[in-house]
Amino acid sequence: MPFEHHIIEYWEWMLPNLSEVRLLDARSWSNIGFLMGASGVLLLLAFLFPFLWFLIAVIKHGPSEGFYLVAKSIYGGITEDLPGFSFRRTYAIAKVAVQEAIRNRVLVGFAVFVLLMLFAGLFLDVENSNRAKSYISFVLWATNCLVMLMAVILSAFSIPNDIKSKTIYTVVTKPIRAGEIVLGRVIGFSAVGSVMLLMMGLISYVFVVRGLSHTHVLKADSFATKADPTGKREGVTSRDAHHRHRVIMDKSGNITTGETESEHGHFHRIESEGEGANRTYKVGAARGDLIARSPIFGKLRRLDPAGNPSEGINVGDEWTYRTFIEGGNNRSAAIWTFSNVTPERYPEGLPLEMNLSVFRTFKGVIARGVMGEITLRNVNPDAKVKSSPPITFESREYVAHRFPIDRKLKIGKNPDGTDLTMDIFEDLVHEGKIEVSIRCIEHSQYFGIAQPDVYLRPSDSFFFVNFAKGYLSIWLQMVLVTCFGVMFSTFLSGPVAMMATWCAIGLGFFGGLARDVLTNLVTGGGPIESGIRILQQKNTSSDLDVYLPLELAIKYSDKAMLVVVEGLTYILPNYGNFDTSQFVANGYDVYPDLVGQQLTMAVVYALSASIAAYFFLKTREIAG
Amino acid sequence: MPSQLEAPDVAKAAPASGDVVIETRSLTKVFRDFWGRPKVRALNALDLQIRRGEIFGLLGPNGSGKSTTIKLLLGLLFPSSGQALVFGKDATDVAKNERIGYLPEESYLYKFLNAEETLDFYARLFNMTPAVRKQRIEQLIQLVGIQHARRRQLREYSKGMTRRIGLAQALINDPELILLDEPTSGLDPIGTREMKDLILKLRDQGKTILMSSHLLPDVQDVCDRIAILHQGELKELGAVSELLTVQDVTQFKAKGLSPAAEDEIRAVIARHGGELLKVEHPTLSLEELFLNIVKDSEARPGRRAQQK
Repeated sequence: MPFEHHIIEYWEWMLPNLSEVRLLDARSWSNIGFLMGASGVLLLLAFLFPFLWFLIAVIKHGPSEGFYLVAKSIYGGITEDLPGFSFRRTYAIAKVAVQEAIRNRVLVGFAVFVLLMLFAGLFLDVENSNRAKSYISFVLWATNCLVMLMAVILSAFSIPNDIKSKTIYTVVTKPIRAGEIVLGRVIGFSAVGSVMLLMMGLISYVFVVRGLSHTHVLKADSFATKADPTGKREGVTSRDAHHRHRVIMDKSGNITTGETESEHGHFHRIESEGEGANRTYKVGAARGDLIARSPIFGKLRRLDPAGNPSEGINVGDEWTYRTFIEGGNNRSAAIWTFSNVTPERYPEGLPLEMNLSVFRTFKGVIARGVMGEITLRNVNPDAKVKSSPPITFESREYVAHRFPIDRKLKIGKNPDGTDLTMDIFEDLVHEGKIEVSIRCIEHSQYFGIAQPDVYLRPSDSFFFVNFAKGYLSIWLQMVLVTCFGVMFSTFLSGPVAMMATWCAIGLGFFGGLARDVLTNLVTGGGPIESGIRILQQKNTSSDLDVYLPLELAIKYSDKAMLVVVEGLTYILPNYGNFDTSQFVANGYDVYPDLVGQQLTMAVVYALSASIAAYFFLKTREIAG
Repeated sequence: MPSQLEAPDVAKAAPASGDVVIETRSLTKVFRDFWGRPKVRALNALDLQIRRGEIFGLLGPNGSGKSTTIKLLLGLLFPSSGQALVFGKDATDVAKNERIGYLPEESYLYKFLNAEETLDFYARLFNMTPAVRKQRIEQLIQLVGIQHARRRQLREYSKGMTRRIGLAQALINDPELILLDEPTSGLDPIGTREMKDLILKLRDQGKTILMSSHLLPDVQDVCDRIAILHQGELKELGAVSELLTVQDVTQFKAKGLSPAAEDEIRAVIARHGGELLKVEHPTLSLEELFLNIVKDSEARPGRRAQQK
């Protein structure tokens, strides 16, 4: 796969896998699953917050009255505000929030977007060999930035402005609950954001489709006059949209495949009319660039050269996403197990697609790829037919390599001279399962593999649906940011609330780094130490070389800071989990499990932030 | 503000226990700085009882704690110590707001809404049917006299008009208790007069009104009882009529007396051992003069008002 990601199934993500959790290894904690993790954090916060609140109340009012105050607020929230919740009042607040957003010229953001689109040609690389990817990445990125910016500004300044202008005095002296003020704002601003997002989405879609739409001219004299030994003649189309396509004509003058060769990630259908020199060709619209493959992934295991299970080899400059299997005459292999393989789902055979990477320890034959072989294996050790004969292939890098395997495989000749074949589904599939084993057959060359690298691609999803899924991710992020912005704005002033919201977004992104620094996975130390290293131009492996007590002080304060950051990352949402632009841009369907995870996270975080916002607003002195 | 305020059929809440609508018990507010150190003692041990159907005035110079008292009663501020009870419940209780109307010192409303949208917004915060809401908005726009500007954004409003829409907003739920913070500030004499008339009219409808002001004539004209605050301390409390009556001075007002008759009266006073303090021909207050001129000018537009 041209971009790196881990396939995580919904329930695998949701439910704990306690055998993988080690108490001291922070990076293994993600295995406790979202359900337990979130419940744990929420439970902790549910005790910690009232306790801190109680401590503050004790300072002001003394222990007994402090306890009474906290208990009364929480009890009142559950017994009075919750049953007294009114959609009518929430709607009224939401409506004013929308009016506020519109009359405060939020549409400027939309105008900026339209301008960006109009002048996109100035900074978009139109000669890029994968224009679809760069266009889609660009529109999704631009939309995401603008919508987030708008959400932060709207949500962070609204309540503080109301408090500053004292408008809120006239609102909270009506029978309205703090929860309705919070929720009304979240709904109102989300509604504004949704409409903007919808408009941006439509414009983006048209921009991408129209921007990529082009055709070429192919004439009879575009072909070489001399045929190659097999009688094929090669031609090229006219150069349009900064590229040409190769076209192959067979002996009889027909276009071999009815299509141009693929270039810049797409191809064109060709229809021809007439004969000989009068022959004319009609080149159709671009195809294959706006797609949404919906791959069916298998489970991966690797074998080392001795045939034992292994994690694969690290060739050095790669991180742990891909590991490598050694080529040559040994048992090293990568084996994917696919489930639910039935003739009904795959009538033609196995529609295999690969994205292997290659690591060459010597140049070899540089003009062609490294050779590998595929063997289909039966998962049942007692089966009559254990495996198919090996099917060799030439590796291709950086492109999705389609390699469909026919249902009937030739395995030799019958005595009567007819072909002896085996049927994948009858002979190799056991209880719906089949193994696909891939080996590198060139000695001392390596194949790099990751779980999403080999998959079945029976059919594609619709591009516009996938595009919409990309926008759904942005929408969820916007709603989350709005919730957090509103939450911070209930107890901070506008600019500070905005900064806090940005920090919350940033912490989500960089929390992983803090974790890696703490576990020494990343060297170079925390903020102070790395700051000193930058100033002294020292690399991360040399000693810090300062007075020892000072060094200890630096290291421990760094550690304290990172622990705080790390702690916060367990509370704040990781917006990186909501980034699906790579899927859409690279033409892969945003798989349903991922959408499910995003929805679950968004709901949990939005609710938690709203409840926190309710208590902050309810207990603050509005006129103070 | 000519038209009659009709009571809409909003569900009336049950009457509060007894006749006391507002009660404060040694209510104290100390403002603190960021570090929690006391900065200002804005209100010190205030004890007040305001009864149903009266107009109660909080009087005092700027910074005497009038607004703080009102904010404490509304739950906008939390007391440092003591209690503020409204309808017998704690001031932070949201349910009491169903029966309260509040006009802040300046009308803090959403500037980007127009008059109708503003009233519609506030009306939606109360439990009333859309039909009642519409009728109520219409009534209030008539009552405060902003028919001509009902579709203009509030940012274009003059101070007086802002005040009027602010008052309409405070009356949207036909409240039992109305808290008016400086109701006449920023109003011209006509507006002031109308405001005072309206306050009296509301009282006649049985509503309880708490108003704060530093404008003495306003308080004197409308309030039944007043409390005078200074530097957060209650200095004086009682009925206006009692507080202002000078017990040992008697004042006669007569019309059509000749100088001879005046002399005769002087003699009578001297004979009874009284001390004559002053005899004068009364002047109008400037307010009365101004109002007369305006009334005259409205009756005969385009002419200079006649001197009396």
